[in-house]
Amino acid sequence: MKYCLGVDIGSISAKAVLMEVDSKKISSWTVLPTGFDTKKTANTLVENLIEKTGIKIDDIVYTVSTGYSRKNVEFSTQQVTELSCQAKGINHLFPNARTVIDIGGQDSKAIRIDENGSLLDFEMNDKCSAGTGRFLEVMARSLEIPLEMMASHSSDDFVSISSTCTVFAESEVVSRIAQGANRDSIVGGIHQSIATKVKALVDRIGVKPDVVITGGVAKNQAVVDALEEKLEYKPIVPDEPQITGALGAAIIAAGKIGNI
Amino acid sequence: MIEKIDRDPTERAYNKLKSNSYKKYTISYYRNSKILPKIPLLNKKVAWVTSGAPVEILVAAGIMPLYPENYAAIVGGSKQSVDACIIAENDGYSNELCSYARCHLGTVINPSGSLMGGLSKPDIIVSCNNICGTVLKWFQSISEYYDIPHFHFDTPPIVDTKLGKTQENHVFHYVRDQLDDYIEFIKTHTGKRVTEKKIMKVLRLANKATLLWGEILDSCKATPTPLNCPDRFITMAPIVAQRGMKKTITVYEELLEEVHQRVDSKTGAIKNEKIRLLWDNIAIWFYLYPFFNKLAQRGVVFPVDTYTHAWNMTGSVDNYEDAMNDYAKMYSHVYLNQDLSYRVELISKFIKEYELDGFVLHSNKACKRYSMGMLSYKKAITEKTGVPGVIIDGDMVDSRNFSEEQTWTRIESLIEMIEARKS
Amino acid sequence: MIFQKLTSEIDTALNNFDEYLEENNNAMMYFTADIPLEIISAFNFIPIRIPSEIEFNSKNKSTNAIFQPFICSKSRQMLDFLINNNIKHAIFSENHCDSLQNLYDVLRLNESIPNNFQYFRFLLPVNRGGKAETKYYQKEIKRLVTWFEKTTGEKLTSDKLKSSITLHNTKRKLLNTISDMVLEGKIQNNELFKLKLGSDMFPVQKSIDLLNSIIDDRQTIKESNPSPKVILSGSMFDNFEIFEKIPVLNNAVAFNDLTFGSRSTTFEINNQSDDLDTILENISKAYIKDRISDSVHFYPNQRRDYLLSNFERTKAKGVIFIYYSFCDPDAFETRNLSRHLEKRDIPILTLVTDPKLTNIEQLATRVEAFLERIGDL
Repeated sequence: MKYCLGVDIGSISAKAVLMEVDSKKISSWTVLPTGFDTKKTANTLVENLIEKTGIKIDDIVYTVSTGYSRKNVEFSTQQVTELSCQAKGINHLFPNARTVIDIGGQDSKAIRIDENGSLLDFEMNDKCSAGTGRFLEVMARSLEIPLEMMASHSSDDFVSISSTCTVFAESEVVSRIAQGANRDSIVGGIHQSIATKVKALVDRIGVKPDVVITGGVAKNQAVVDALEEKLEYKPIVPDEPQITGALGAAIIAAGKIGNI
Repeated sequence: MIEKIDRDPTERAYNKLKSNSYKKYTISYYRNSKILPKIPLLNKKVAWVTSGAPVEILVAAGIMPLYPENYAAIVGGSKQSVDACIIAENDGYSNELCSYARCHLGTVINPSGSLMGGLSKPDIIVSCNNICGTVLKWFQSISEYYDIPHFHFDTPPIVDTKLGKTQENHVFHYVRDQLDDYIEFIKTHTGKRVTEKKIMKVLRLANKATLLWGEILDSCKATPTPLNCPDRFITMAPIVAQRGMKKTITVYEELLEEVHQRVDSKTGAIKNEKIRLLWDNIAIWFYLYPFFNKLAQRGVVFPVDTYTHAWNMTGSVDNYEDAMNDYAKMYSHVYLNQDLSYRVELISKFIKEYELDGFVLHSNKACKRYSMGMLSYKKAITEKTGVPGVIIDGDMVDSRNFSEEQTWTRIESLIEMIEARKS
Repeated sequence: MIFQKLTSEIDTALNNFDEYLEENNNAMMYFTADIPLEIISAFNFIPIRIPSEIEFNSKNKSTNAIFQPFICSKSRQMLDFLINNNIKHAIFSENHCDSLQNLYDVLRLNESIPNNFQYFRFLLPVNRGGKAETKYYQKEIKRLVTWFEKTTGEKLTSDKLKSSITLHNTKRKLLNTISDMVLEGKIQNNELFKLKLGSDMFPVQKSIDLLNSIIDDRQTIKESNPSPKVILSGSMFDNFEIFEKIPVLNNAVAFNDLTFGSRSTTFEINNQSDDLDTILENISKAYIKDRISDSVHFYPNQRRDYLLSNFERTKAKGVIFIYYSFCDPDAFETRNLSRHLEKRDIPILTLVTDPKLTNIEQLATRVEAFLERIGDL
């Protein structure tokens, strides 16, 4: 059997999806922290998949790499941006999706797609409001809450965090702590501030249903809830929101094989 | 069988220009500017001017104009701008300010550590707010630092162009009257007199050079296009900084000839033209060649940009009165002094005339006048033309405000969109 | 007592600004301090400056969807206000700064302009103090008068304009008196600026009555104030809650050199004429020659001289500059002015904030440290 591979090396985590070419079914997938040596991480991703599935490396006939370090995947056949990959991946899972919101470690993106999963328009955060995922991580650490527990600490009675710049937002949170604000209210404020920023990004391209949220931050239910309230649409969150970019890369790879 | 996106990076994807008198001219001009004012016998006066200021009158008065913006761009291209910016920031200038200003002020504060030892110290300075309001404050800083006279030429903007409005009559007279004040100012502070005859001579020369420049820009409509963005960005220096000088005409005659040859022989600016885009805003000087050459490898060329087109303006040169009236109008109607509707119209017109597939808007942190409203006009242009665009974040000379990776993700996504449309 | 009543009235209006605008159908919003308020009032409109203290719900899209983060924070706040409130009349200040220049276009491109919106785009001169710009400004206010006449169907008479000028002159004088009372310790900065805020949104006659009652009320109170005296200097900065939020600043400011503070009141318009053109000329002279300019204007040395003379007059010990982030003219002006102060060994503190004062904790610490530095700790 022939396989194709999608590899997405993001700023915080690296993802890979192995797809069986003829059936276009996902054979296996894996997620690793990106780490410092991205080339090595990419190799480890493939080793993991081979180990899991028992296929031979030669069975992988086409690899598309994407994400921040897409150029560092030495074995990739082609490199495609994560915007086109998200478009394809989400279209595969949710054909009615028209707006994709991807909130990653470094970048947030609002993507407009059509019924074929083609990329129509997009906006990305500006440099000074970068690092949403990282911001959550740092905040979780200063508030002494495990990252995955942040959502459950989120209070609706939140204090407002209004800085758009991530660095300023961090110092604003420090101010709130100094003022003696309740911890859960601060957590609520952090989630609100992320949702506000993402909403502004989505407004640049306009929101059209169905809306799908991907990326690591999509696992945080409080952010998703806050976004739902602001967008006035119920967003869909894929079961594995982190791997949709790698999935899209695998789908693009599968399409290429058809043309060979 | 399998196409790799990245070609061999050592392979040159563009055709190098043979014309080089623009370069020789710029170098010799800067060299002279360091020497001539130091010869007492010549009594050569130096004026620092903003890129949109009416320079022809200075030239007519025999004063040597120098452009801090042009100089800052050169410092940026030489990758010395961040150091200069840091000097200005350490002196107390906010890092949020225009990076041309910070870079140039850094070289004013520390000339000996700067490229070419800084610009020759001016006798007068002249600013004009037709390109932005920042230049006024920047030049005021210089004037107070050196304690030298400063003339500010005030050009209220052209608004409501969508409603067919033109410049109000009293606005025109306000601008026109300042030209007389300007001539008076030059006389008072440099002792240099200008005659109507001299002004007319310079205006005619400036007009001739501009017509050549206009023809060069116009020739880029050809497929493949004869000049790419970096070609124009580099060769534009004389039309900005040496308007009204004889040599400028020879420079552009040479360039136009090469452009004609390229068009006739179907020689493109890049070797394998596939995608044609427009560039809006000032160049990212420290990343000029890596950016456009990497795109050239993918077959992406920029036949037109709003930046170099900004100096494509001519007026009547029949008689003094008409010429001065047109001159006032010309300087108040520059691209950045008109409203955003005009921008949408002009860019949409370019997209049609130059047969473009998309456009790149450089959201320039250092230039608020050029970047304000960009998200809104991006949308309006796509709605009007059906052509996709992308915004990239950058800065003309402060590389600290630029992220290479993020820029490429955006540009490549635009290319993927265009390629998908084409297939 | 009088002051508390006034404060609550101003706060009510600020916190329910949409209702306040609803009640005052004749509100004319404006942005900068060089718009001739006398003409607005002469046509029976209430000139209202868009203050930063204002509270409203952002119902529509946020300005982050429209502006890049490096666009001036004050123009963001103004855009936010314009797209979230039902504004009927406004005068846009053009040729003021790079952000305001295209603000109207941004509104239009985002289809955020209310129906039946009446607006005037005032093409201000940047040059100040000279003949050419005074003549030009006079023609521009004539254009404004024509626009008002067309909009209202009413003719401007010299009587109407003269009485409007008299009222505004009186209001300015009273505010100057109160400013002097700050120096005498009879009134606090937060109170002065609350009054200024009120007088920037209430009808001019109402403002005069309020100011008079406060002056009468406070004549006898005398508070001694031990903290070192400083001057607060800036242009577009207008969130006066800073005095409530940083009490030491409230005590320490002897005099303000702010656009919407002293610089909008220290001039008087001559209305000793019955000829409309002469009165318009007098208005122009007052706004272009006499009013102390802002950082966007070109009037060599005027700001420096004004700051230094007030520094000496009030026997201040230092200067605190304040401006909003990403305001290029103010950032430059701060540096240019501070150069003159450094030459005279005057201690300087520079504060950068935004219209919502989100970094207030940091500002407070810096102010306290500065006062400790220049005072006798």
